[in-house]
Amino acid sequence: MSPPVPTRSNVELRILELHKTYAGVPVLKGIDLSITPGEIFVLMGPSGSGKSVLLRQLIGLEMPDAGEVLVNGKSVHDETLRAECRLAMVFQSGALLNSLTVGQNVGLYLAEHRLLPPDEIEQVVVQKLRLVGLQGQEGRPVSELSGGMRKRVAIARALVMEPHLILYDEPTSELDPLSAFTIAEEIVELNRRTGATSVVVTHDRDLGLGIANRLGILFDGELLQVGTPDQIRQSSHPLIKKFLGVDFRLTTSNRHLS
Amino acid sequence: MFNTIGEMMLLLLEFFRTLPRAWRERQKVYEQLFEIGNASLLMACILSVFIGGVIALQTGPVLVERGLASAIGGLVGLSMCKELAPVMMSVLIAGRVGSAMTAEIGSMRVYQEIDALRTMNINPVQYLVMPRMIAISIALPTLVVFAVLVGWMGGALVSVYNNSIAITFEAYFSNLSEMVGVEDVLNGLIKSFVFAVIIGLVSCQQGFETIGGPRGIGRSVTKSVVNSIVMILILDYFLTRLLLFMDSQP
Repeated sequence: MSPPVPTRSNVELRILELHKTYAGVPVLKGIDLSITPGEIFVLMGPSGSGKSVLLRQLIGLEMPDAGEVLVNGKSVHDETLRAECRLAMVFQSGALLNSLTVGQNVGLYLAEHRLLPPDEIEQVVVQKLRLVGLQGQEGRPVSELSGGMRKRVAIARALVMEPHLILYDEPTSELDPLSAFTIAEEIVELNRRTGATSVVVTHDRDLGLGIANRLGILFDGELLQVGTPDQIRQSSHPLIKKFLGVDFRLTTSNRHLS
Repeated sequence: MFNTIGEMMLLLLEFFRTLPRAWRERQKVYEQLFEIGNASLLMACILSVFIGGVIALQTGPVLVERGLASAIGGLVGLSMCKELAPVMMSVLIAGRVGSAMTAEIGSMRVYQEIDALRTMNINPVQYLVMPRMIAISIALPTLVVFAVLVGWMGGALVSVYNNSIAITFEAYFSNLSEMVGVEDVLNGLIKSFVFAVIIGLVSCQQGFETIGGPRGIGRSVTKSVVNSIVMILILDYFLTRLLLFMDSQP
């Protein structure tokens, strides 16, 4: 294997009739979707709609019951695929290895695949941590990090792979609005700079509508609509209107008034 | 149960597949060896000295009564190296090291760290299982040799200083060296190596199977310790029969 070099993404994702069932309960019900190279595609929907399950299928962590995920025409489970394109995922919890330091986590991919000598890995780690605003944190144990910092380390770890396709699972959950905004900016900036096809799963309407080139709205395991943020905002589908239109502040204050 | 055994066999197969890369991962093996030694050496020492001592204490007066006091050395020596040291050290390692392995791998599974390894195209068996399996397979037989020596000393101390036995060190060790051969020590080492593989496999497999948060981790740890001990004791019987059969061949 040679060290990963930044290349413009040409990764196209195709999801064909994807079904997944857990303990007899259907979670994904025949998802059909195409994601074009270099776009930011946001999968949005309420909690429990199957977004994270779909993401796990896209990266090949789970086998679907039926259907297929194709990356540039090859099954995501094809062993030769990862030699051709690099796929990375930023987990909701960060999924950092707690026994390692921040720097070791970020450089793990390069170290384990022996892609660069240790001193060069250190340089790459410093560079990637600077990109996510965590310069000087290399030696810190990950257990000391806040939720937002963990997510940024996870993004830096994904960036080290110079991915062609990057998947984000709820990147702004459990974050304060300012940290969430910073992460959202980073996702857009990374997409602009690397051109990596990005799939973002979220139930955060502001994030989804703010960063997406296109969105897909998932409800109860079914893809209700796919379109640009404007198309989704103007959707006439009652469930989508309800999901986008709920205003908790008004509802609460009205209840208090009554 | 058959499902678990099947999973263990698959894990063993994958472990063998990653073995050619063992030299590359030697740093992780050293780290694991250090952890196992650190967790178990003192406990092994305390256990062995008392096991040796109690065998001498239980059998010594009876043997003295029958005029067989000189056989105590051989009795303690053989029981320690052929049976007690391998089994007791394996039980100790299953409880102290195996449980820690399951807890560590289990929490990595629950908190998606193993998934993260997979997305980075890092084989979790090579990264997590292989160093642990190699380390435990080296550490347990080494610990058994240490336990045998300490156990012999424990037996000697009781045989010499207990008034109802009161034989000399010379008598004890002369009988021990007469009765115990290298093949007896080897017997114990073979057993401990097999037990080490079993503990490593059970612990790692249970770790990988963990689901459901902290309670799930606790359940897996309990299951891994219980399964390891049950398998050690069952296998001990069959291994003993096999080794006795091999000893009896010309």
